[in-house]
Amino acid sequence: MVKVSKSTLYDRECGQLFAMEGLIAAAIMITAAYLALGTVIPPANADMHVSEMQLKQIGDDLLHIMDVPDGNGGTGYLESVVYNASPNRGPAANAQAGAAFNATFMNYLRKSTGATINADTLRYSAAIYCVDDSGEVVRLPFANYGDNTGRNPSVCCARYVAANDWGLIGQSSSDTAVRLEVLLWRE
Amino acid sequence: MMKNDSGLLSLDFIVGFTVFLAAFIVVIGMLPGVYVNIQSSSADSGRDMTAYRTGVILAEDAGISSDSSDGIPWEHQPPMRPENIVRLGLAVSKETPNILSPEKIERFFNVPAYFNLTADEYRAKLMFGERPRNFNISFREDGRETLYIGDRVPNAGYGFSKRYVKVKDAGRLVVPVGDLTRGVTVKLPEGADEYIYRNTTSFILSRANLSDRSVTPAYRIDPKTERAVIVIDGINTVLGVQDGISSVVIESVGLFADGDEVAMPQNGGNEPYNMSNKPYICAVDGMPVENGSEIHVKNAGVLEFVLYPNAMYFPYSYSKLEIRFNMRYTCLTDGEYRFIQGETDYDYDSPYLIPPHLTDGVLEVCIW
Repeated sequence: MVKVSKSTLYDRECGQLFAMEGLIAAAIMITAAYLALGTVIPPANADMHVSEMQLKQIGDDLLHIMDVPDGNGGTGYLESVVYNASPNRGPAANAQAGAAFNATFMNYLRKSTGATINADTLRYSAAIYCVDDSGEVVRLPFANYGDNTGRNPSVCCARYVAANDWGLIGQSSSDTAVRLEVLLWRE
Repeated sequence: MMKNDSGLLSLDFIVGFTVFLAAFIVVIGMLPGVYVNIQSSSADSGRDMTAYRTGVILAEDAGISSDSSDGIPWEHQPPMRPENIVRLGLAVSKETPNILSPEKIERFFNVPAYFNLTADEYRAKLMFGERPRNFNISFREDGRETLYIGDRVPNAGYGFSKRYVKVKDAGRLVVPVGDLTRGVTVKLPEGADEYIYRNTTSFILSRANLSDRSVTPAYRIDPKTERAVIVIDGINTVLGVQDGISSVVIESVGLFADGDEVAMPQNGGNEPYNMSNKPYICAVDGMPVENGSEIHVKNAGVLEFVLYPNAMYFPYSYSKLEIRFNMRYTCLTDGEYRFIQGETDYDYDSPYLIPPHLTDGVLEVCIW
């Protein structure tokens, strides 16, 4: 075993060596972190859903403004059209309600300020979901413009609409709320 | 000697630990910078996101001014003080998303010219992006011309947001003149060729009555922020057929807030907190009459009076505004005449009130 004499100079060098190691380690750490963080881009949901967002916004806006009451204390357009879409009103009234909704909805979809080229490519399919006497959810096709074969990515917008005297054929009717669901897609 | 050794070791530890801590702080400080990449990762999504955000602000936000706490909305700021506008927004209120105020639409699209905001001011008060973007914001209400601000939209490569909205058109008080007239007996002084008769007819707006919370917000009349329209219908059918009357003139229009007359700027005035350069517009059979001048109404079919909103008319929640027409009739013969006079309330219970109605519109935001 080599006996080392402990001089004051040796002690200082020892201290300096440790500080240099710390500095080098810090520099390596910062460089590594800089490279790692600079090359990784965390994915943002917004990046992935921008195209869907426009359709979603259009669908939600339309259902919202179609449900605005027509005058103080009045009912919205959706409420009146859903009232006539109740199966217990009969197929003729149901068909008329679907046609009226289709005309109104397509009229809205085609509206534009003229600032851009408004290509008539939007299509939709609407259905009403209600609950039958046994508590099961029933889907009733309501109106559509174009057929979604499932190949066009579509966006779902929905609104609960007050439905007075609503009922399925042969079942009890009540004042309730039904879910009006609209699928929107581009063709 | 041993004491010196242990001292050196502690110093090492302190230096090493300090260096480590400094490095650690630097690394943590770099983390927020990582997220900058999200904004610049896709130029297209950045445009779409800005368009979406701008559309939301316009359709769902009422905007804000530096005087909002005093109840003065951004659209009521004086034309020379656009810096008072903090954020632009077209909605009537926060309670009514997608229902826009016609006053805000006029100010925003600068029709008629008022604030004359620059493109940079629109960017600063609406888009809030770090990147200066080009924009085109257009709006069309059913049955009207398209309004727009900004540049021409390029053929491709722009972010887009479309909002379906409704415009809240002001309520109107339409009064048939027969319901406003009262019988007055006139006797000409001895030897006189004519007799001048003066009276007043008033319309009362009570903020307390109009702020009725039981009325749906979309159809509630807010006299502080919405114009009030008064129509007197068929004047010629009552005054025009009285041959003894040679002229009927509205000498002046006075506004009285809680009994005190409000000083009104006339044409071209730029008084602070004035909705328009004109406090009101008076039109006879569709032809506007110069404010401050006499209005001849003997043979008028329809007299329409549009009062622009102004916060100073309603300083308190219980405030009442009286719109007073000072009338002058010139009679040529003695007789029993029917003159317009009396007070009429402008509120929900009035049989003459046509409540506000909503018109469809579409708002498009393009950003590139």
